[in-house]
Amino acid sequence: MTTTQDPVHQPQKLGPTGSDYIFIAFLIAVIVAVILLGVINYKEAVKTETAKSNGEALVSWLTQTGLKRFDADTPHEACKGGVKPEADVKPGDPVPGTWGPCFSYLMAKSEIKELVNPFFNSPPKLIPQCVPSDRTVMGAFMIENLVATPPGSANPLIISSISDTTPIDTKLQLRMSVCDKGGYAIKISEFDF
Amino acid sequence: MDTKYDDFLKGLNLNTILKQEEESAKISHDMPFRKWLYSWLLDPHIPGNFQKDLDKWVGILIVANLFSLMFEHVPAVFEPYKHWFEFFDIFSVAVFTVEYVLRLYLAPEDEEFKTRKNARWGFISSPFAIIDFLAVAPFYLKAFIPIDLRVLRFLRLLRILKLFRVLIPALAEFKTLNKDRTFRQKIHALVFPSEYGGTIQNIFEVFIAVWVLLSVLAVVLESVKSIHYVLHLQFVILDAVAVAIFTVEYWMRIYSCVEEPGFKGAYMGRFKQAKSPSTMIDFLAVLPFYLEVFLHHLLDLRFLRVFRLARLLKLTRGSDSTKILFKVVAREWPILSAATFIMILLVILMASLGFLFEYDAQPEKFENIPTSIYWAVITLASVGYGDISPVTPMGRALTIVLSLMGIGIFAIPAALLASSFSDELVKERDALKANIFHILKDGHISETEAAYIRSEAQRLHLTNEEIIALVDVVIKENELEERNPLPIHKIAENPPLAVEHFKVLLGQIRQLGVHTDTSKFDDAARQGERLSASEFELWKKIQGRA
Repeated sequence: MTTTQDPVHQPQKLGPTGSDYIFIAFLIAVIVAVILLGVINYKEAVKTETAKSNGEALVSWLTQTGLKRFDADTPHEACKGGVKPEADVKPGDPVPGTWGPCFSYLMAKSEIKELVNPFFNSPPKLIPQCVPSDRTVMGAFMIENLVATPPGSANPLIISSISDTTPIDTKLQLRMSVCDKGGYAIKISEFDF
Repeated sequence: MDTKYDDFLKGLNLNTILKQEEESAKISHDMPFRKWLYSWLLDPHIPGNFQKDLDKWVGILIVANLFSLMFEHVPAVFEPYKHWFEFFDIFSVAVFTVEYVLRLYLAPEDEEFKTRKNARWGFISSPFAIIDFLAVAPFYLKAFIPIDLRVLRFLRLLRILKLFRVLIPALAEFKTLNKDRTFRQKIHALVFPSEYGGTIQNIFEVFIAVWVLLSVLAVVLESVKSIHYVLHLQFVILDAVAVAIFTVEYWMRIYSCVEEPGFKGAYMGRFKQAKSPSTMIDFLAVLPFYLEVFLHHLLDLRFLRVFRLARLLKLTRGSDSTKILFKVVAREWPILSAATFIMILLVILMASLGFLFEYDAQPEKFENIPTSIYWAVITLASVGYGDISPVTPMGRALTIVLSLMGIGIFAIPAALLASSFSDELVKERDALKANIFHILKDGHISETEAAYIRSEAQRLHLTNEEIIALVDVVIKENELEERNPLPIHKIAENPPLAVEHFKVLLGQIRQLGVHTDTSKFDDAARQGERLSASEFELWKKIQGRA
């Protein structure tokens, strides 16, 4: 004989219970948290995208300039080709015919002077190398000079970082990269300058 | 003597039970064309018609449209393949339009609308038809009215709503199956396979599997720099959505696992579930995302991204083959561990000897024992990269011994696992045989029993021919058991039964005497003393000749 004490016959509450409501609230909190984290990730990814756009803009400017910089009437005098770097310049002063004055000019007076490094809200820097352990390089430009070796060499290219003193009197083959938020290089493009 | 199994065998159509013969719809040709077409294409109550196939392919096309729409927002993908996207859109609209027109034409045959005053208007004004119309209308509308591309894309997004044609009936079925069940039981029915899950549980599993494949594909494609460069943002969004889905799934499993047998108890049950391999995999599938978000300022955790590939293991949930493999490894673990121990011993010993013989000759290659261990393992496993090789006679002699031993040592665990796997399958097949034996006891195979046989056949990868042969063996054993219901010692335990059995045997001997030629029998019995004198006397007595 069954009694009302029999657990099998006790009426079961079918609607959501207290623990169900706690679970639902927890689930909503989890979803909100994941959305927030997703938004944070997205914002960081957008910063990387902006850094890439900066790099693309710089590549575009350098490629366009590269087409005309050996002309006599080139509009960008600081980046003019065919100008041998002067030897008798005071130490610390910009040397005409080198990369330093050209980059300073393009970041100060050209159409791309408005570029902003999204990671620091400041103009992007030019650095010799992206270093994963160094977070100050995020969003910075890294330009490498690619010099073709003679046929038959083990390495087809010699790659060196471009610096302020690198001569730009001849045609250069360059590789443009930007550093992402982890400090790793993202290759943008290879182009002639 | 005929047994009940002889009749049963005559009526048993195993091909039908195993669904070997494609169940084709039985639709008469003697009916109006519209009804005939409806029966073949849209009637959900006729098994074997094309209704399910039609729904399935339309569903696939809707999902493909969703992806197409997504990639249209990526210029690097959209621009080079613009024409293909346009062709696909035209194809989709053509299919959806044909479907809409077909449903409109066949509406008077549909049970839902046939009772209406105007069946076709009833169809047009139904929610599903409105969704169907919205799915194709923008395409035609843009031919007459210039519509903003963004609005057009948004309207095309409405095609997803067509999926409700599949989802709503599945939800209704789920509701019916889970009537009078608690909220937690419903969550359990959704995430764990059970009799209450119905179609929606299958849809849930497919949904999770699709997201697993998508996220794994994204991880693989992310490693291709050119693709990652173009789709970086899309990968970030996809990962966040995948993590959200997997996290919700994880907590739904943890919350509702207490409804599973063996996981009772609010805390212990959930803890047990949390530390089960499949749930651990679920946890590992989402962990890299959270670690990277919270700790990326402190550490470079991009190596963790590769662990997102662990999501692929989610697909092994419920896989019987994986379960069998784990079972076999667990069962053979003592022997496997012994073989591994011997292998380690051998490797260290040989590496030490290699170091001893070769160090003086080539210190840069055999510079220490760990380097020699690398050489020993590569040699023992018959890989032989050749980057480190012995040059001294003793070293070379050692390599010969090592290579020959390697064949045996590595073969032991492999052979052990293979034979155990095979044994396990034999065991499972024997268990199925025993169950079929039990099923056939009542001389009838019910639909549930047939479903069991089908699912077991699928699980054990048995062909229909193998199952038919198995059932044949079981039927023969059943016959034998029926003809010899009890062994002699069992009969002897029951005296009245023993008397009856004696009478049956006596009757059979008398029958033998009636049917046989007495003189020839006597000659044969005496020849070579086939029967002893006392046996022959007893034979004559039974025949009433003594």
